[in-house]
Amino acid sequence: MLSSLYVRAFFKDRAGVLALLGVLVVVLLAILGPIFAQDAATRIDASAAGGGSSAAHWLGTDDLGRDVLARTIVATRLSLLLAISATLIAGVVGVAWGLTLASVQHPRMRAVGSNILNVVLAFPPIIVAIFIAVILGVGGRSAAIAVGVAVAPRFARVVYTLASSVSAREYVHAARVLGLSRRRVLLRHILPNVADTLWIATFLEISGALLFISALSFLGLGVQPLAFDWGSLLTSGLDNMYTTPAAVLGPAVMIVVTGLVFGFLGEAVARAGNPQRWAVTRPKRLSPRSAGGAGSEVLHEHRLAETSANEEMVLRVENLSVTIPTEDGEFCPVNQVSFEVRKGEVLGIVGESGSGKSLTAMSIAGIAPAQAQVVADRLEIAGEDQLDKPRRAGQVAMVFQDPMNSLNPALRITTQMTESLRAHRGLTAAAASLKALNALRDVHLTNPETRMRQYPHELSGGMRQRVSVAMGLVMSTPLLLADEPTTALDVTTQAQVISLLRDLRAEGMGIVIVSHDMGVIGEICDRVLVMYGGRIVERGLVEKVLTSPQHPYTQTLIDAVPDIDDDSGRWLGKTEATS
Amino acid sequence: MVASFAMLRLIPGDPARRIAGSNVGPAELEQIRQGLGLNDPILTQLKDYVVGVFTGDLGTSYSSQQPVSTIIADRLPKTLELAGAGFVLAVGIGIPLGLLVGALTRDGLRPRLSAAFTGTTSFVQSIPDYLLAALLVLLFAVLIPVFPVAGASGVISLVLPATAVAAGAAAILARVTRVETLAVLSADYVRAARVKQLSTRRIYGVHVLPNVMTSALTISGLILTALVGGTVVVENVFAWPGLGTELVRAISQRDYPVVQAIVLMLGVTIVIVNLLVDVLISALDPRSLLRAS
Repeated sequence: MLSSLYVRAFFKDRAGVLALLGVLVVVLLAILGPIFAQDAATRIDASAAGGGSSAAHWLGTDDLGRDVLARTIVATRLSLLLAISATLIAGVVGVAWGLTLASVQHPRMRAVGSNILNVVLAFPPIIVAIFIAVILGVGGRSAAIAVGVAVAPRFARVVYTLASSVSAREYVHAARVLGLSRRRVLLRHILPNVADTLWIATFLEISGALLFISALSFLGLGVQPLAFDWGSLLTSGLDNMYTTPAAVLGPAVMIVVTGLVFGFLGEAVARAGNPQRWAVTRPKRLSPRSAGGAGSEVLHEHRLAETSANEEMVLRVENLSVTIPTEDGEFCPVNQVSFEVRKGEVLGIVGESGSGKSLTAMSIAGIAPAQAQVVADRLEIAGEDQLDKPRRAGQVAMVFQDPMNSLNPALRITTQMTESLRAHRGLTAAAASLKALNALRDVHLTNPETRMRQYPHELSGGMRQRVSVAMGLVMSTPLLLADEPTTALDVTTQAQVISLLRDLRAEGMGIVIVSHDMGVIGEICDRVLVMYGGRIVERGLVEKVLTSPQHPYTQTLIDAVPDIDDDSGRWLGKTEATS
Repeated sequence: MVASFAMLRLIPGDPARRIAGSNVGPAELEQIRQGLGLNDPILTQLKDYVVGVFTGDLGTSYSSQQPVSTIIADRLPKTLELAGAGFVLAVGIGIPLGLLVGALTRDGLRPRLSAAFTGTTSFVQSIPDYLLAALLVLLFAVLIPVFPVAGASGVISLVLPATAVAAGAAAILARVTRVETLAVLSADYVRAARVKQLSTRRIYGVHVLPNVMTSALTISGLILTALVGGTVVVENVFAWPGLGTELVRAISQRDYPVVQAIVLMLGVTIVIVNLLVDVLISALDPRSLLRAS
């Protein structure tokens, strides 16, 4: 499954290449170490026994005068071999376990199997490994088996999760329909699709297995005298710590470094497997100059029927720009945007994602991302300047796209409804909840008393959007910003939210709706702005813009609305034609 | 939970037979067989063992002739003390650190701090606990003798072993907490709270913290069980008189009733810990089904 793209992505990752080099060095040590250093590592020299570090013995010598550095190097082979064998055992046992579990058809049996696996996973592998090592008898081989079995459940979990998701996909259903046997489906269709992830898990687990086997050897349950690995060298080093402290360092450093390079290699392989990294060039950032193409410099402004300067302005924005510093210079997602909203008016801002429409709304609400710099010649809500911080509370309310995420799951509705009243208006809890209750009635929420005591997860999506709107109403905010308020809702709930917004407009609230959905915009907005590449490319009364768009980009957006009379496929053709 | 109890009961019967069969001389084997009642049918053994466990009779140590239950009662508090101290340390450092770095690196702020944090935590995380223990002894007990090398005598002797046990766990907790903090900070409900112009203290204390804590606690349960495992190994570096040192002694002297009882105790401890964490999370998270009624 290793495609050339995959390999190329891997070699672009500097950390990954370093990790690979590190692994190669360790493997080389494992191969060459015993050939060149075996003699120095096992030669007993009573005269040098227990010596500290010296020119002849960099890390000192042990009880029998053997050179610790040479022993550390020689131990590489055994340590690595045991770790790799343990990982292979874990892989084989874990894959078999996971696939068997995934192939169980009976749902209850499967749940029981999955629960047993979870319980096994809850046990620390080191205790399981100790347990199995005791049963098998101490020694290097049984340590490898013990660690392999102890780590196997982790593989089983990975395989089971992946196989379950793969087997729900259509090509597996197709294979089943064709009458292939279950085993064949598992081995031919499911296993290859989880293989990539398994490779990554293998590299990561080699480093885990190395640590566990060293721990077993360290406890005296692993490799037994005459043979030695890093763990057992560490034990003997600890015994002589007062005389030769350096003897602990050799095996310690090797264990940590080897664990790290295998771990990093696994992570790098995982990163390379992410197809987003396969792109040959980085996605080009929209630069304000080139973003709109040739037509963008011209603002198509439909003359408004009547412009009365006396009308009360709820929102005035002049030359609002947002810049975000990036590695390759400043990036300007909102560029010199000016508009205003009157009392009792609904303004729509449309554009594709990345056009800057949401960021415009967030800047007005004062919640632009922390690293973004928001500048404007004028930003006024209900005649009050918002540029000088701190802002005054209760000027703006905001409704977000995803009702599942816009209310705090850990707090009751009443807390969220009343907190700004209590913080900014100094109301008591009782007075605040009375106000909140009225606001909930205003948005036509059923059983408001009960709802107040509930948590967000107990409410439907439509109810939550109403609560979001009501949270603004309690503070009698003059301006409501709604970022895709209907996108995540079903059609019936959409209609209810739109009718609620109409009611608010009738009461004189100024509303800004940010959306890419021309249908919703057409239904409720008075005026509309079209944004593209951070700029306003067209503006005007909603009927004018929708019926006779001047900018080719607006035309594209309008065409993107599926039309029942028309083949919705034409959207694709149009975008290609205009872009 | 039901399944884990079922599994715990499976542990004792089976290994007793295998231990005796694989690496013990014939004379000793017969003695063990008699001692463990291994000549009885396996179901009777299982029954005897289960009855024994529930009546507090875990057998007698071969080497010291003490009742195993006495040894456990003697050793378990010490292990819990060390694991508990390690847990407090890991949670006390990991969660606030993760929260702080998460808040400082939100929206991609301070990329260098973010990289340094990830690098440091993954390095600390990859040092095995027994090795860290050895290095700590080398540094702070041998080269700079500030703390005692071994033994359990008061709080001062708890510092090094608890640090060794806690470091990796603190690193994992800090990473998880940071990721969770970043996710919560970019959630719409926190934006909504910022639109309300609430004080920073209220935003972090009331809106962010409870949501971060739920997931931090979920992982804490896993970490506590890992800590019990780490304790078993680390105890041996510091000659800490807990279950871990006793386990290794018992294994090297083939004192199987003790081995069996300790493994069982560790299993029970882990199950209880997981149960407690589940209960705690359901008490804190309003979405949990356990609280719905």
